[in-house]
Amino acid sequence: MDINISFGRKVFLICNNVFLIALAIVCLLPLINILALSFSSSSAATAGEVKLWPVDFTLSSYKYALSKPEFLQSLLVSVERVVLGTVISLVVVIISAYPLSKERTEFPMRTFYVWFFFVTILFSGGLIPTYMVIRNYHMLDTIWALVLPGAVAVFNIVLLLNFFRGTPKEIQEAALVDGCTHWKLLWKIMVPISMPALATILLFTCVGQWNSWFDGLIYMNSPTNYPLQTYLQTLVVSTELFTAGGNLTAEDMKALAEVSDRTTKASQIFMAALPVLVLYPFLQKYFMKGIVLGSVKG
Amino acid sequence: MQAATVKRRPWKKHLPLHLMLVPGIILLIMFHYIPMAGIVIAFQNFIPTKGFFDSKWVGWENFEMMLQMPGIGQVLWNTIYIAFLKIIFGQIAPIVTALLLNEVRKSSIKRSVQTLIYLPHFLSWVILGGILIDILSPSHGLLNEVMSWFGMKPLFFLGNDKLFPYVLVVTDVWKEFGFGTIVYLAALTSINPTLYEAAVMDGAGRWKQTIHVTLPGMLPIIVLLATLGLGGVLNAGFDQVFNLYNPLVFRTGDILDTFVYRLGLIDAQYAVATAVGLFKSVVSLIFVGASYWLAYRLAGYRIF
Amino acid sequence: MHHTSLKRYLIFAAAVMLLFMTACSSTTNNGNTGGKENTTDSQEAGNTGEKPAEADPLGKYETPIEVTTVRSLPPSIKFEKGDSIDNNIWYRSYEEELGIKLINKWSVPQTQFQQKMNVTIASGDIPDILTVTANELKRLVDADMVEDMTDVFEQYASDKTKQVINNDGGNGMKASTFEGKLLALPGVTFTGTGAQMLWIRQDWLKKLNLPEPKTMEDVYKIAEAFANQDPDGNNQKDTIGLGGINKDMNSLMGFFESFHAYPGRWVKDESGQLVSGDIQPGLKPALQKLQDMYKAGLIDSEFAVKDQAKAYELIAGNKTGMFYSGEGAVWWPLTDHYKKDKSDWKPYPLISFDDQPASTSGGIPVGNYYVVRKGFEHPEALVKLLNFAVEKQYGPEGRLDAYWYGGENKEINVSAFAAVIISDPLELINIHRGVQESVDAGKYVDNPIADVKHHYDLYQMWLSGKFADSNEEGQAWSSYKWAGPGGGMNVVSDYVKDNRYLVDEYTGPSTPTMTAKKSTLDKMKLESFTKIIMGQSDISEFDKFVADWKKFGGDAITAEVNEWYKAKQ
Repeated sequence: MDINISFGRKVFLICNNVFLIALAIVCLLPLINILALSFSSSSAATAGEVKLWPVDFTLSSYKYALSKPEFLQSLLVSVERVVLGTVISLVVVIISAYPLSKERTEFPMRTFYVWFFFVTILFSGGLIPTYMVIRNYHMLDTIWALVLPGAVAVFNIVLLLNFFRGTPKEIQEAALVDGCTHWKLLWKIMVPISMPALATILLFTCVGQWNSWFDGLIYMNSPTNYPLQTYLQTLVVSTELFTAGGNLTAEDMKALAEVSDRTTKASQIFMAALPVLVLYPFLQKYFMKGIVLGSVKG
Repeated sequence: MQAATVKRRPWKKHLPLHLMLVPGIILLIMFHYIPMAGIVIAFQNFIPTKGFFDSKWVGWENFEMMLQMPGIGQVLWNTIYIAFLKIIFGQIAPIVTALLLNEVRKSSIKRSVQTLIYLPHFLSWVILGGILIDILSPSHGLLNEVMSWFGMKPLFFLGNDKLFPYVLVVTDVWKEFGFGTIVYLAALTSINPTLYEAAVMDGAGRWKQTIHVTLPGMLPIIVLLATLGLGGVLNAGFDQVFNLYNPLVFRTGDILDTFVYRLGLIDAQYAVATAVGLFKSVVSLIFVGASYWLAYRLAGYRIF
Repeated sequence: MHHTSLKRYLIFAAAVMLLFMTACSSTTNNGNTGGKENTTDSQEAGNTGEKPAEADPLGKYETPIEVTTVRSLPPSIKFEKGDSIDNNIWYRSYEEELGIKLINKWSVPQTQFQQKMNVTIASGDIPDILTVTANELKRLVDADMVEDMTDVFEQYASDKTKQVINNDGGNGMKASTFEGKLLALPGVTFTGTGAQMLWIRQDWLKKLNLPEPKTMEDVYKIAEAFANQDPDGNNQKDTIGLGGINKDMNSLMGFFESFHAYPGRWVKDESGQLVSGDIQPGLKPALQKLQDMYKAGLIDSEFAVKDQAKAYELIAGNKTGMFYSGEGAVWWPLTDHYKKDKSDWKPYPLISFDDQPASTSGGIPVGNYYVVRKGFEHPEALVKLLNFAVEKQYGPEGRLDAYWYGGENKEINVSAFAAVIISDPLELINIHRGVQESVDAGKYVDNPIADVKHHYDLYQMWLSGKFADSNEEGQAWSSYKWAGPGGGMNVVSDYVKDNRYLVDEYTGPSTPTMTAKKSTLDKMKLESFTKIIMGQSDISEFDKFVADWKKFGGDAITAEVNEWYKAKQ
């Protein structure tokens, strides 16, 4: 943009780049460690010898992970919940955020509704009542138990309504005066001009759906219906939780040997994280664009 | 005739807006409001076979029991202290990062940095716990090694109760700031470019533009996220603390959630756990409600 | 405006509550009628043709009955093609031979069983038969959710079942009895579970010319030598004397037991009263010694932040040659270590610090308990399932391998599919004794326990030194170190023979003071012990801890525990 870059600015830009790259490296290290573990032998991992480079390079942990039917099976469940969950949640979030983004003069009830939505963030009945309710709806062991309870993502609604409020008022007013319905206004104008915000929320929803594991554990009655992260959680449990009783039998120790095999854990964590890691760079182009309807692009 | 239309019009005019909220409201009632009735067990000596209706009512007994636990005062203080620091630095770090990223001219650097700093969010604390014990080790840890280049004495980060709360805050900020940056980057894109052009016309440099255009443009989102963050003033991060704390740092590192967890190990105490949950909810409501009300009173601004 | 919205909200909330209450009461009604229907069903069934089969331990139900349960899946579970936890040889046999159609309401990997079980119990949605831990049993008993099994067990249990279940000296049955009523069937664990021993690396011992330990002084000397004389030969002072210690101090149990202290357990004192192992006087010299060792650099300076897996890295990473653990240490972490470095480990029985022999201790003497939901019409079904499992192991036909091993290489543990199973508590010890017998005879001596041959063959393989791959070698080594002469089970077997194996004397439910105070007391204990060992507190801190422990609820708990103990006699 600027043609004449001052010396001070040049220094700033260089320092800035160096700083950010250093930051990125600090964030990358643990993942490299996990990657190195996944390609190492389990003996080396048990001995804590693996740092940033594989020791006794082997692919056996990947072979082992992929040979387990649970891995691919749960991957499918995860894909299903992410697709279904994201579509449903995104629609609900968009159609809820729009009316709530109106001023009180335009929609007097909005403040009541907003708090009606918001209170659910703060207060919750807790695990047991929620479980009982879902059981009464006969949703246990179905994908709906994973998708519907979190579909009204109030945090996302509040976020999106703020973005909606930030869009130029004149556009909305003009459209309504022209006889455009709210429905059309929302989908034809508001949604297209809020792509960065929607991309953010899409990302949050996908990541949220992909990462949740506790609901799978509680609402699914058989490990064959687990989403991937639930399945992983059963592997990546802290040994402390396992040994809490203190009185370990020989069988427990064998189980612990299996549970504490860090190479298989590492390979599965890595494979499970891959899809969401790839998703972000793909969505990034939406963060680069400015407001489409603004006069000039920034 | 005239009066009738005036009366009817607002309702008719708002009907589509009401209708749009119907799906959300139904889902909330089904999955959130109905289970909320379960909060009653906070006031009961809850026995599963007897259910909500036949369990004995004990009034505030569960709350009293919680507040009379030895050491609860220290635990509450730890929780608030750690949570507050996390809220503050968990806000500042992504904002600063977003602003710095905004200054990067090369889109390849910008994109890769953005992607890489978002990675730690996807690693669970169970995994990170093991990695952090290595990195922070006083005898062979990476961090202490780097510090020794500068002539600093090794520190036992995870075993020193004066340092431990800050270790929690820093590692938490490190894990989440990249993910938190996303929403601010989105906010940056929605700032009207004409504002920058106007500022340049007025002779404002990049610094002035940042202060007078960028930050005000991000302000609604900043205020919103800060307010929502306040709702978590009693959530100091169970998973993190559980995987990192140890007997040496119980004094400063034990938080409400780990406290309740250990209580539950002995007996699954649903009633006490629910009472603690309700207590946390009420405190959150007070904080969020107060900031919402203050913003409206002082600035005439509704946060959401 | 604000007020009106608040009012509206309240009205709405009230409406929601009403909605919930109706929804809820309708479900309880359903539940009730469902229950009633079932009862009449069973009465009819009983009238038609149950009577004659009444006392037959393995009698088949004329009209098959449906029984629900829930399952925990061990991490290593594998199935034959087409099988699952819902459909396998055990479940098929239950239906064919007993007329019991067992239905799994849910199944969950073992690591998460607790979570899922908590929700199940709390939501009152418990199956007809379930497997619970001691803590859950207490909870269920407190909530009056389990059926009294006293008469049913007496009537239906086969003689063999009664014998096997009491082979642990009756500890399991005692722990399952509440106020004279048998409320659960104990899944008796193997005698010796939790027994501690000292594992020492033999190659290091030889390298440094150290004698095998006879006294605690020898142990300290070995620790000192391992830390200071560079046993790994890398010319760096990077080894420690006593390893494996984690932040929960589980692996110091053996050390404390050498000083006749049993933290975490309840033991009988000379006057016949129960005292908590957390405040026994033996802890003081033990902690003092640990403090000295820590100061001398013989203990990992960072043990206080490490979990078990992290602490074991030092063992597998050749940084330590001595640690306390059970006999199961063979599998974790030693098999991996052997595979990597061919390290040679040997377990030693605990050595006493004075002239009294050291004993070791187990926790509550039962691994899990089988209970029947209160109100279930066929409580005897549980007993029959148990009889069935006992019959398939110790019946006249001997053990049927189809119920134990499956798959091409017999690598599938089929017995893991059984919903209800107990094994003779003495079995592990008998396996060792069987292997030893064969070793002494120089050839396999026929033994009713099939595992004896399995382990003896592996032992022979280890002696031969010929292995298909490193996994097989590891297996052969761990079998030898576990069941073979001088292995872990040898140590356990000697403990039992010499009456040096104690069990937790308190098997009752959490007392009111425990519920309120125990978590705080445990935290206090861990904190002060850790600080003493690390030298952050003086040893006199121990006396202060004991005084505090008593003051902040310990005395009250002790009184409650002894009240229970008196009533139990």
